[in-house]
Amino acid sequence: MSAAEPRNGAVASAKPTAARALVMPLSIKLAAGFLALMVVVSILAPLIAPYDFATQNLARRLRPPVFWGGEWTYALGTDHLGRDILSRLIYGIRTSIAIALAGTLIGAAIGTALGYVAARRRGWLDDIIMMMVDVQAALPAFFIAIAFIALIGSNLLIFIVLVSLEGWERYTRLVRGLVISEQAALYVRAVQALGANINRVNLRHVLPNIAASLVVQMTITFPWVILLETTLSFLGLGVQPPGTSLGQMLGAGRNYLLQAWWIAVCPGVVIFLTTLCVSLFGDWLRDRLDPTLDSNS
Amino acid sequence: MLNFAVSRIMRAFLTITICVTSVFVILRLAGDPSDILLPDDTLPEIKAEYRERWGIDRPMPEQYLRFLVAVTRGDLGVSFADGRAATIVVAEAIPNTLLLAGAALALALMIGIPLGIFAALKHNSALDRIVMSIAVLGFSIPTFFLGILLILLFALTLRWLPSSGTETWWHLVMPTLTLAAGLLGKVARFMRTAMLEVLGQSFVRTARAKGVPRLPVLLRHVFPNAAVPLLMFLGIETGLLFAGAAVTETIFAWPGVGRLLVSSAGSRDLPVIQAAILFVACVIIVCNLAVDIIHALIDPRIDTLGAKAQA
Repeated sequence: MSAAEPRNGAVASAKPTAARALVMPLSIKLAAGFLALMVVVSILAPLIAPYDFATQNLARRLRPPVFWGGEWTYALGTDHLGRDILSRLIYGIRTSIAIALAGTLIGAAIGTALGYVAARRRGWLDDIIMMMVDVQAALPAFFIAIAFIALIGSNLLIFIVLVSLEGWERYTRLVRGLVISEQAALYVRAVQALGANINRVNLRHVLPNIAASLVVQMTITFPWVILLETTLSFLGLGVQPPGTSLGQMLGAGRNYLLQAWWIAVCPGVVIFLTTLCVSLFGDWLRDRLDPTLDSNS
Repeated sequence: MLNFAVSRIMRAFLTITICVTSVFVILRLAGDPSDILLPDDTLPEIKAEYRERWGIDRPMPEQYLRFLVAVTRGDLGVSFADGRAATIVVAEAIPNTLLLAGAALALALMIGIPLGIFAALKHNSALDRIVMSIAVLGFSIPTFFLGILLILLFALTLRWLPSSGTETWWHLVMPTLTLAAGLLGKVARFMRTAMLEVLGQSFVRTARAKGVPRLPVLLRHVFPNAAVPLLMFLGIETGLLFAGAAVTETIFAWPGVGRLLVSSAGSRDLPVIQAAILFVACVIIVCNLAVDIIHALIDPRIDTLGAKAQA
């Protein structure tokens, strides 16, 4: 962490800091706007979807989208079972965003709790937790999720817990390091000397101090969780039909690339833009909230 | 140095043991392995024989020991699909995965490192911004979506490249591009940051101030110091490279370990899944071990006696 400081200090001094804190570049505004749109779409999905996402109509299958010679009745065309792609996309966004949000929050909660316990207890508990961190860091959550789904099977709840494995070890490392260093800080020792209980000190003083780093870590992890969810669903190991998610739509559309490329490309574009916008927005947020974080980790 | 290497190797062994144990635990959590590991239509006599052979009626510690012995012997059961040993099925797929991952790694390094260096040398210029935009696009695009776009463009529309199989070297082009894109973006970005950090160090300023020309300073002082964090970064990325390879192989019908793993997961061919997962885990752990040891060899700042220098 200390190694990152001079670098960020050098970059920060390149521009006036006051102006940097206030100005949101156009690209960041667009990214934030797109993410807000995604959230609104997922909340309002039942209201704005023109059709039911699962209703099949084989007479109207493989209709092209409106910009490829189609009609406005099916603005983004229909898939191989005659289902409206726009409606499926809206519900797919809802599923994917909900799973990714839940996964990110669960991972953050577990990782933070373990990091805190490791920092407070030290000793053998710390060793075991850090061992688990090392194993997770070496073996991507993707492989653990595949092994688990194949060996035990999956349902929505298990699937959410599995995608939450993505990045929990980052929170553990971060929180453990921060809590250990904060506990040595003068202000913590001062409050303790005044008679405060150590848990109260951590809750009231240490946690607010490391909250910014946690938020930043969540903007880093969120796109990974989305990618893990969409990848597993794409491979047919995640969200199962009749449910829909962006990855699952893409996986199904893969078999119809020649006749109807739009089935796969529409959800692909949404996934790409979402991860891109979260990355851009996260980078921007990171520079403001937590100048000590390494922007590449 | 020897102590350091030994302690790292011990840790790698410990990690592999934890992976093996996890597979054992997950499998027992799932229920009776003779129900899960054998096809549904297995005859009761065969099931009984299997239970006897693996000691499934025995106490857990004994089962665990038997499992460890079987793993060290490379005996991980028989594939449901064709009745061959799971380890042989996986071993046949390994060269294809290593070829694909190696090609993608080489491409990402050959393009990513120069891009990162140029971006750092022209810091805050238009070139810097363009390179960084390409890098962000590269690692934001999901592997499976990039693969599908490439198939649409080069295989279905232009008909320049084959979309699946392994017959010629041309078959390697699209999978390599797909797998390399994300890593390339990350390498370029990481190299740029590492270069900027080294360029800001006082020893670089000192070298320039005492009259050493720009190029020798870059070659002698900047590159070696920037290469160390890049090496560590690549160690961390190995796992993700193999995860990406699983997706890429599936899309392009490239017969590697990743595609085998995904298709076995779909058909619940558990012996093959066990073997493939353990193989991937071992490769990742060995790569990380190699990176740690190379790092200690080339970077004198590592405290090889304490062996806990970089946490």
